[in-house]
Amino acid sequence: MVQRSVGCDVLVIGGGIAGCMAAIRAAEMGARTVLASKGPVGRSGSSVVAAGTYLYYSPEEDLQGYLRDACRIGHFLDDQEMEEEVIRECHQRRLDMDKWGVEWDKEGADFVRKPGLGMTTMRNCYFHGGRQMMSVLRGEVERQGATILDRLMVTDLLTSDGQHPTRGRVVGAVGFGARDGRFYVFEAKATVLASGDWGIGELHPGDNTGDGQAAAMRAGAQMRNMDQLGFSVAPSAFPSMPGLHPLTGHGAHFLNRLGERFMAGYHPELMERAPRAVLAQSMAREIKDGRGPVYMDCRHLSREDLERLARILPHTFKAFQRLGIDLARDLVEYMPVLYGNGPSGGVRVGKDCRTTVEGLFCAGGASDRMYAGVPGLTGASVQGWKAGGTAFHYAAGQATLPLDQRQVMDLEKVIHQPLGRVEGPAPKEVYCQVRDIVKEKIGVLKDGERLAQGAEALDRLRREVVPYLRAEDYHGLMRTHEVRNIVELGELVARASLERKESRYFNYREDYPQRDDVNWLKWVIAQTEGHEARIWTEDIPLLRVKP
Amino acid sequence: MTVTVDKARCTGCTVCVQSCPSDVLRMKASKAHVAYPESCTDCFTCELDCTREALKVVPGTILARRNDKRKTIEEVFLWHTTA
Ligand SMILES: Cc1cc2nc3c(=O)[nH]c(=O)nc-3n(C[C@H](O)[C@H](O)[C@H](O)COP(=O)(O)OP(=O)(O)OC[C@H]3O[C@@H](n4cnc5c(N)ncnc54)[C@H](O)[C@@H]3O)c2cc1C
Ligand code: SF4
Ligand code: SF4
Repeated sequence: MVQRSVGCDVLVIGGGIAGCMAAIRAAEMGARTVLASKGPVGRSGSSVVAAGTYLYYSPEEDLQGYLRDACRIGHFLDDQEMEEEVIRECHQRRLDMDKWGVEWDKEGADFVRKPGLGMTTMRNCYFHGGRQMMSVLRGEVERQGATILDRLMVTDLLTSDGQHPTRGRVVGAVGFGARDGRFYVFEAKATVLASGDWGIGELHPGDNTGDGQAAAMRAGAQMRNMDQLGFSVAPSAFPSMPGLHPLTGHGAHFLNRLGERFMAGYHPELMERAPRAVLAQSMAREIKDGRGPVYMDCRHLSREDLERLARILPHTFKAFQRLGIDLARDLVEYMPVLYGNGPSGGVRVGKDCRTTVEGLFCAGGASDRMYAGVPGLTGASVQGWKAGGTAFHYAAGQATLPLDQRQVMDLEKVIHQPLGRVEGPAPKEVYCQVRDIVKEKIGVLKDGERLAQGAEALDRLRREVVPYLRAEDYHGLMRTHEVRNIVELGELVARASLERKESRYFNYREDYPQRDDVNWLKWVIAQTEGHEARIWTEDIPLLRVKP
Repeated sequence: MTVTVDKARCTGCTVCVQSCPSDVLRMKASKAHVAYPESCTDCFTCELDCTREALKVVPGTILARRNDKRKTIEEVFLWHTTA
């Protein structure tokens, strides 16, 4: 297979908001920057389907109040120093995006501000959908002179010692063209992972299969909060529908079969604006206890509010129309849906976006999202910008190291093997299995016994099925590598979830239903040792706010 | 199938083929073509990007996939011992 070698100072992997911000920043500072993305830059990941809300803090507001709100939403799983920095800096990122041309919803000169899920002090502002925002960001990446490589799936990281896990540093990556199968070798002084979160279908973009997280894990990077598998709620007829923050922010209600606003029993203070984790768990409980189906009710919203919602959620409203649903007239059936580990969990990073492996930086959904209580775009924009800057400075002090040619050859073999197989399971078959295991054995309401069964089933898939996956063409080749990553991380999620013996945030354990702030203000950390993951816990430093 | 192309309206501009996040669409005989329907996630990106209103997404792939007749886990494991 034809090989293409690409040399650069900073390699950014993933073309969502975090990757674009990182590439803009690194290129603007003068780094030779390459942005490689599996889905097209600006048209992929969670960013392009995002529901038009951006949490925004302006300097005259109450910083301490924002921080308290965010920590409460994330059940104190956050790194509070990082959370504070994200809240402080989002103002500047919003100003930049304004300057570049992102359209915001305003009344006169003022931004429309409303609280989102779980917020008492914090306020969102609104923009006109992820597509408009991401077109602008892609334009800015091009203007700053970064090289864009679309439809390029990165599969693994290259290391200075040629080992996985490494004791050295990351020196680039390998991947292939998702349309032509061409093998790519990247030699980079610094590598920024911005490849989004891990998940499997439903309210989760199809291209975010945790590829970067899995590659980082194989290379030996520590992972944090992997016990936090996100669930959300969405229409049963359209589980991938974005818009929960804006819909509940404008006053949508949830009703059970008996017509009761059941959230009164779970979160009397915020009701339907309860944090996402509480909403998903409450809805699952209502259905499990026989009070389903549950519905969203927007019939009482004003015409102006419905019109604004249609502006900030263009694709949601198009879908409603297509399904024959008129929010002014109809109830919409809802259910809990998988949301991936976007809300928290991923590659461990410090405040400056360094991972625990030298030469590797990480931002946005791929990272451990130590700002769990702050919505995703805000955190990803701040972190992406920061990662681009840190990577630039790191690269400036590094020479390009010679690659370990044996590692390059081995990884190329791994990439193309599934094409050569004439028999073996198709990726779709395994994908369906994993999705069912994740929903039935991990699920919204977890339980030790089911988690252990899930972990074992995924472990068997990893050992006995994944090595035999078969691809019929390059599109199928991409799917086989995605399925491998989905399985590896799914198993880690199950094992990490088992580790926590209490209920916190998205890890709700029916066998340990109480939150235990005495013994469990802890992070669950994981790292590859040999061929297996070692899992342990660490105390969370509570530097700003205490429960 | 959840995405359909109205070939009479499609001008073959390739915008949707460039923008689909999951690489579902390709060109065939100078028109957009739904090459990998199973990879579609109902994200609407293609429909919103097409200026000719030639694409139509009807949410449903994810639901259809959930109800697919699937192999049992044993069948998936058994493929190599029975082959
Ligand atoms: C439906 C939905 C609605 C949301 N709405 C909002 C909202 O209104 N407000 C808000 O603040 N947050 C929202 N979020 C969360 C928010 O969108 C994300 O947190 C944020 O977009 C993450 O950005 P990112 O750049 O880190 O990752 P993403 O935008 O997910 O981008 C990941 C990128 O990596 C690429 N990639 C993946 N694998 C590879 C690989 N192997 N090689 C190369 N590239 C790869 C992908 O193609 C993609 O370009 C929403 C999320 C969803 C799913
Ligand atoms: S964007 Fe519309 S007109 Fe252009 S190729 Fe696609 S379907 Fe045809
Ligand atoms: S709806 Fe989304 S995933 Fe499906 S074909 Fe259109 S752009 Fe691709």
